[in-house]
Order: sequence, then C-alpha cells, then structure tokens
Amino acid sequence: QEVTLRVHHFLSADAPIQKGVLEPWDKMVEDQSGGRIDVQIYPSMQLGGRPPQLFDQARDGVVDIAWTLLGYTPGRFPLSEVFELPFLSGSAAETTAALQEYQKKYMADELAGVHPLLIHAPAAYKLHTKDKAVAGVADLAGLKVRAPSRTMTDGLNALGATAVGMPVPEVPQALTSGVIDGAVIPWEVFGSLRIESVTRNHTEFGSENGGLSSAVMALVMNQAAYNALPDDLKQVIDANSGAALADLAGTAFDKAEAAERQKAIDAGNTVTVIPEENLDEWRQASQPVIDTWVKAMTDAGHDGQAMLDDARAMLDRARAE
Amino acid sequence: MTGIAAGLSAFAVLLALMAVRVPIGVSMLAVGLGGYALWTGTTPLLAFLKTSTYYQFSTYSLSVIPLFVLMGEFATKAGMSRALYRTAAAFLGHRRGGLAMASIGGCAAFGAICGSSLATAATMGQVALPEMRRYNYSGALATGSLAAGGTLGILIPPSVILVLYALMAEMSIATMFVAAMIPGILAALGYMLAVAVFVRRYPEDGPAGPRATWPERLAALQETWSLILIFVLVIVGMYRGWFTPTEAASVGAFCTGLLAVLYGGMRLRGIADCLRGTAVTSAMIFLILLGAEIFNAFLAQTRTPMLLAAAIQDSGLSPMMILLAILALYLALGCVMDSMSMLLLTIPIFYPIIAGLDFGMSREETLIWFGILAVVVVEVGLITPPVGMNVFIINGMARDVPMIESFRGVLPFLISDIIRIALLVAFPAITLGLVRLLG
Amino acid sequence: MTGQEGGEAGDAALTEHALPVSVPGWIAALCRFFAALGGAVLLAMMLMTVASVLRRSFLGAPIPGDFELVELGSAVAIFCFLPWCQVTGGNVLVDFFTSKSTPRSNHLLEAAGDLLYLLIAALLAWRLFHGGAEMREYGEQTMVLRIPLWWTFPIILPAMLLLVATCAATTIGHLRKARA
Ligand code: NA
Ligand code: NA
Repeated sequence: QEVTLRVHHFLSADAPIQKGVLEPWDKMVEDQSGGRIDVQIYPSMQLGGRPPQLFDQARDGVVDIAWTLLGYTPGRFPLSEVFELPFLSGSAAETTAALQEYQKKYMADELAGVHPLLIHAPAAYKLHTKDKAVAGVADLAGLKVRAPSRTMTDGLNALGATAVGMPVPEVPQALTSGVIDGAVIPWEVFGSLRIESVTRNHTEFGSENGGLSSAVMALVMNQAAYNALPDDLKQVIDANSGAALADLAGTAFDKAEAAERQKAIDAGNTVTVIPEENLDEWRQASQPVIDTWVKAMTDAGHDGQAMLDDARAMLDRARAE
Repeated sequence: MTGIAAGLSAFAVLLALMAVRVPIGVSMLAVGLGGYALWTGTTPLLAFLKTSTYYQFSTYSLSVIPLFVLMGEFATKAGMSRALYRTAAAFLGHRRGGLAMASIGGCAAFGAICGSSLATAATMGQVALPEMRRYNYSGALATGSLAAGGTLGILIPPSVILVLYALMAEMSIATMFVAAMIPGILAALGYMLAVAVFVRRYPEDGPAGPRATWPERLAALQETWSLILIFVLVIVGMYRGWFTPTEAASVGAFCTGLLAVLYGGMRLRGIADCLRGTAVTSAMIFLILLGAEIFNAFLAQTRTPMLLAAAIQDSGLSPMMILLAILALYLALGCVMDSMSMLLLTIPIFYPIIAGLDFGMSREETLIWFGILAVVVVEVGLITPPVGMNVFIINGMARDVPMIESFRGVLPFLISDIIRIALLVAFPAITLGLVRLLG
Repeated sequence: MTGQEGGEAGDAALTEHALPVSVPGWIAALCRFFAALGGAVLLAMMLMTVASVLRRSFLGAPIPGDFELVELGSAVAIFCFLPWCQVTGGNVLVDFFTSKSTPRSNHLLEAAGDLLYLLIAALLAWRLFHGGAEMREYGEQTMVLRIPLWWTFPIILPAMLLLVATCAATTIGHLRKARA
C-alpha cells in the first residue's frame, strides 16, 4: 500500500463506532483503493492523550483521522450545540441526516482546519435512573443526574434535577455508589459501561425511543493528509464520507440502540415512555435552556433563532423520509 | 526497521539509560520522545505535546494518587504506627518471636491506611525496630520481618500500585481493592507462620517478650479503633456505599489528618511537612506516569504491543505457561528495578495478552486475578537481593546489622511468598472469592 | 520523604534517589514556594471534595462542578510539585549498576541525566505555552462552571520554567561535586 491512515478514538474496540462504522469504512476504503490505502484503527486512546485532545490530534496531524464528540471540548463548538438542546433530536439516522445539512450551512467555520469525513449523532439520549422511575418532571426533583454536555447541565438543573458533570468512565462506579442517581446517555453506551443491572428504570420521551438530548460526533481527517492523497485516492475517501457514510453510521447506531434497549427489557428493567401529550411540562421547564442558547448565539453575532428553526426543520425533513 | 524491532530497541535504550542513573521518568520521556520523533515525525510530536502534559496531570481518576499519598503522610504523623504496634504486641508479644509477628500485624494494619510499601516499612521500622532490639531479637529476624511486613503496604488496600493497575487495565479501583483483601490477609498470616517456623529453628533469635494483661490489651485496642473506622469508611465506602475513589481518598486523608492533629500533635508545621512529602512522592509518580504515557504512545505507533500479543497467542504455548513466564520475568526484573515503573512499562504490553488468554474465567476475572498476581510478584522484588528496597531501608535504620544478615532474615518470608504465589496461581478463587461474593 | 530535608530516620531517602547537591538559595526558595502553593491547592481540593460529599449526603446535592474543580486543582498541584521534587533529588532512579562506581563518576552521570531532564522540561514548557494559548483562543472551558481552562496556565507555565531553572541548577551542582 502507499498510504497509511491511522484512525484514533477513545472507545473500546467493541464499541458500535468501531464495529459498526470504522471497521466497515476501513474495509470499503481498502477494497475500493485496491489495497493502496491501509487503514489502522487505534481504539482506547492507544496513541496517547485524553479524549478532549482528539480533535486537535487530527487537526495538527498527530494522527490522520480522529473520531470524537464535539462536546468534549465545551465552549469550542457552540454552533453544533443546537443538537444538544432538550427534546429536539430523534433517532441516530434522523439526527445524522439533519446534521449533514446543518454542517454544510453552519459548521464550516467551527470545522475549519480539518477535513470532515462524517458529522453524525447517536440516537437521542434517554434518562436512566437507579431506583426511582421517572414519569413526570416532579419525579426529577432532587435526583443527582450525570449530564453529558454543558447544555444538558443547564437542562437538568432547569428540570429540577441536580446535574453532575463527570467523565464517562466514572459513571458506572458513581451509579453503584450513589454518587449519582441516574445518567443521561443513549442506550448504545450500555454495551461498554455495563450498567443494565445498576440502572433499572429508563425514561423515553415523546415516543418509544424518543429522547432528551443528543450529541454531535465527528470523524475528521487531517487536512494536509487529505491534500497529500493522489486524486484517485481522494475520490475513494470522498466516496466514503459525508452523506455516503451517514446512512451507515445512522443505521449502526440505531441498531446498537435497539439491541441494548432490548437487553435491558430482557433483564426485567422498566421502560417508561412519556407520551407526546404529556411532554408540555417538560418542554416548558426546559425552555430557558433553549432561550439561553439562542441568546448566546445572537450575542456572538449569529442569528440564533434562525439556526434553531433551521435545525428543527432539517430534523422534521429527516423524520419525514 | 520494522515496528517490533523499533519497539524492542527502544526498550534496550530505555534500560541502558536507566542503568546509568538517569531518573526513570526522564528515561521514559527521553526514549518516548526520541522514538516518537524518529518513528512518526517531529511535527506530530510537537503538536501532541501541546496539551498532553496538561491533560495527564488534570485527570480525575489519577487525582486519587496524591490524596492517598497525603493520607499515608498524615497517618505517619498521627503516630498510628506506635498504637498499631502496641496493640499487636499486647496480643502476640509473649510468644516466641511474638514481637516479630506483632511487627507483621502492625505493618498489615498500617498498610490499610498507607498506599506505599516503602513508607509502611519505614514507619513501622521506627517503632518496632527499637522494641525488638530491646528484647534481644536478632538483627536478621528484626530487620527481615519489618522489610517483609512492609510489602503488605501495597497489597492491603489502599494501594497506589493497585490504583495504577486498575486504571491501565480499565478495571474498577474498588474491585481491585476488594480482590486484594484475602491475598493480603493470607500474606500477613503466611509471614507470621514464617516467623513461627524460624524461631522454632533458631529460638534465641526471637525470645518471648512480656505478657500483657487483658486490661492492657483492651486499652491498646482502644487506641486503634479510630484507624479501623477510617479503613472501613474508605474501603467499604468506596466499594459499597458512598464515594468515588478520589472522594474516598479525600475523606480518608481528611480523617487521618484530623487524627494527626488531635492525637499526633500535628500543627501547621507538621501539615507543611506532610504536604512537602506528598509533593515529592506525587511529582515522582506523575513524572513516571507522563513518561509512561509518552513511551506507550510511541510504542503503540510501532504496533509492538499488538504484534507481540499476536505472536504469543500464536506460539502454541498454554495460557498457564505464558502466565508463569510473565510472572518469572517480573520476579527477575524486580530484583533490579523499581516496582511501579516496572508495572507502568509492562502492563500495557501484558494486559492485552492476558485478556486474550482463556483461563476458564471471564475476561474481567482474568484481569483481576492477573493484576493481584502481578502486584504480589512485584512486591516480592522489594525484598529480593540484590536490590531489595525495603531491606535497604530497614537495614539503614539498624546501623549495627550487616546487610547480609538482613537478607538472611528475609529468606523465610521469601519462601512464604513463593508458596503464596503458587497458591494464588493454582486457586484463582482465593483472589476472586470475595469479589464474587460481593458481586 | 523530603530528601535532603530529612529530619527523622524515616525521612531518609525512601527509595533510590539522586545524590544530594546544593543549589542557589533563590532556586530552593522558589521551589519551596511553588510546593507550598501546590500543597495548598491539594489541601483545598481535599477539603472541597469532603465538603461536596457531606453536602451530597445531607443536602442531596454535591458542590456544583466538584469533579472539574478536582481536575483543575490536580493539574495545578502536580505542576507546582515538579520543581520541588527535582530540587530535593526526589526523582527515583536505578542505582544498582552504578553503586560500586566512584561518587565522581556518579555525579557526572547524574549531571547528564539532569541535563536531559532540563531539555525535556524546556520542550514541554514551550509546547504547553502554545497549548494554553490555543485553549484561550478557542474558548475551551469546564463543563459545569465554565471556567476557562487557560486560567491555570499563569501558574503552570512559571512552574515549568522554574523546573527548567532547577534542572540547570542541579546539573551545575552535580558538575561541581564531580570536580571537587
Ligand atoms: Na495499603
Ligand atoms: Na529486589
């Protein structure tokens, strides 16, 4: 082979991102390049550093490609935070499809310096609690809940819970020991955290599999490494990025989501689905978080309301498909 | 050069640098940085370094280390070693070799607060060594029992080395601590048995001391209850109840510090001493951690760990043979090397190998079992010649005892160690029983 | 454990450390100051965590952002501890292979080791300066309290520069001893 691409991420080798996205991508790229591209996947931060460094590792050429959550560097990607807002996002496929549009329209500046291969999202985040089943806003009062992002930190506090910010690896131990009573995460993460026997209650919003929030994930390539590819290999990469890869990722994450959800149900856990018509009290309570984001964007010189409306419209279109 | 050749040459350079008095952390950094620059390139290295140091030091899970070190420093200032030794001596002192057994018991109890073997040996040594010499214990038995007893410091939780293993192998710190409990108690009992056998053979080495009355025993026990309380709070609290490891260490350090102020007469000056001691030990550990991080990042680029793991799995050796080979390597390295840096260098290579082997247990149980075995074997290195750090420390305190006497005195405990390692290898249930029970 | 401070018997080197050398008074004083600063931060971090545990146990809510405060505090403390560890000869080394050599040659070897540390510390300090500048430029902050990450750098960077100076001082100290 003539080109080696080192892909770096923080999850374990059996996580859905590796098994469902990176490994199939590896195979497609290697096959379509006639073996001229050699993809090496390094899970679990094997190449060094901590998850917040991943984006810059790709930007600066420490690695060729990195996969990360944009929310791991709070404050750095404020425009992408719209998908973290409460009760907006849908399934992985839907949010990922909407993100393709949103990325083109709004995210070019934030992603400057890297060559984005895929901007995507997991299925919307559900609320998982240890002992207390949450069926209404009132049930959240006083619960200590791990928040996944700074947006949801505000969101949980607005809903009456106490948001606790902590690194993901701490979550299982923190749940067992009562440091937190619950966590806002997608089902898909259960596979690696192994917490189905700890959190026995799960709350979904609006509809089966509906959620509270989401996160923006990014598979990004070093710009110089991309530029250095001969044209025909650039085409191989292009043919396997963006929209072409979005379907694959959306499907993989939704599949993992359904599988982990089923495992929890099989284990005898309770899944509470809050019906769409009861969601108003939740929406009202968390509205200040949305207002805050819009205001922050507007203060920063963007049209916050238009971006929010756009994101909603993109999600609606994706849902309709 | 192939990746594996680069990786192995890097190891050779690393060992060479260490051999010529370059600090271990600096050696790892130098080889890691040099290797990274040569293998991957200078530009990526310079970019990698922009935030790596910061994030290495700013990691929540690693913050437990300075806090446990501080707890050990406070425990020393609190005069706990004296109370613990007195209690153990009140119950065992009248037997032949009883004061040596009491030293072991005191070390085990002190190890339940302190995360370092060297500190445990040194602290108990200050108290127990003069006592044993006063009752005409031979230099061999007195120094040998303390050097061996000190190794209980890293086996009985809390233990800095177990914390590092848990983080490297992605295991829960609390689970590793629980798994170490029975092997730790077994080690203490084995050492006491070694004393009994030794004094049966050489009665004049450990004459019987005075017999304490029951009121004296109860009075001694009263002095130690606070310490038992702290241990229970920290370990049980971490496993069952109430906090993360960092929180447990904070609570433990706080309570121990309180004891030191209330009973140990610690004042501002004493607190400053403890903090300075913590500063040295923590900086030393984190420099090695940083070195290991960068060295391992370079090693991963060469794919040495993955290639070695694959080669060993294809070698046709049985899992038990591979395990025994690794343990033998640890024993050999432990004779000349510092235990913590040894584990930091080798665990990233060995744990994927072990995790991929079938010992008839789940992957998680295999890693728990291996972790305890590795720590036990590494800890034996602290009392083996030629470089037995614990023996050096205790021998340094007993100026009139020749070094050769101290190593002779350690021999029965080494035999006890070998038997215990064999037991732990043969019966994984000794390590895993408590973990399964508390599941 | 304070190396050359060593008052009590147990404070004698607890493991194999560098040979003692003397350094200029102002370096030692600065190292002591930074160690005290880091110690104060560690103590504050411990007290904050205990308070947060108590608050969680009795009031049902921890101190907001307790985890990220520990992360910030831990970074500040460790950076501040590095020069003190170096000036007290606290960095562990292997002395098995050179224990029979003359003090002169051992001091020369340690001078070389400290020079290596100096170069590495200077490299890390230079890179950290850029890392901090980027954190500031990109507005990176903690999740809950939104504390800008670069705020710790006005302590971290001077601590690293002090480490460089300390390495220079111990290198010279070892060379002097080798000549004596
Ligand atoms: Na211990
Ligand atoms: Na040894």
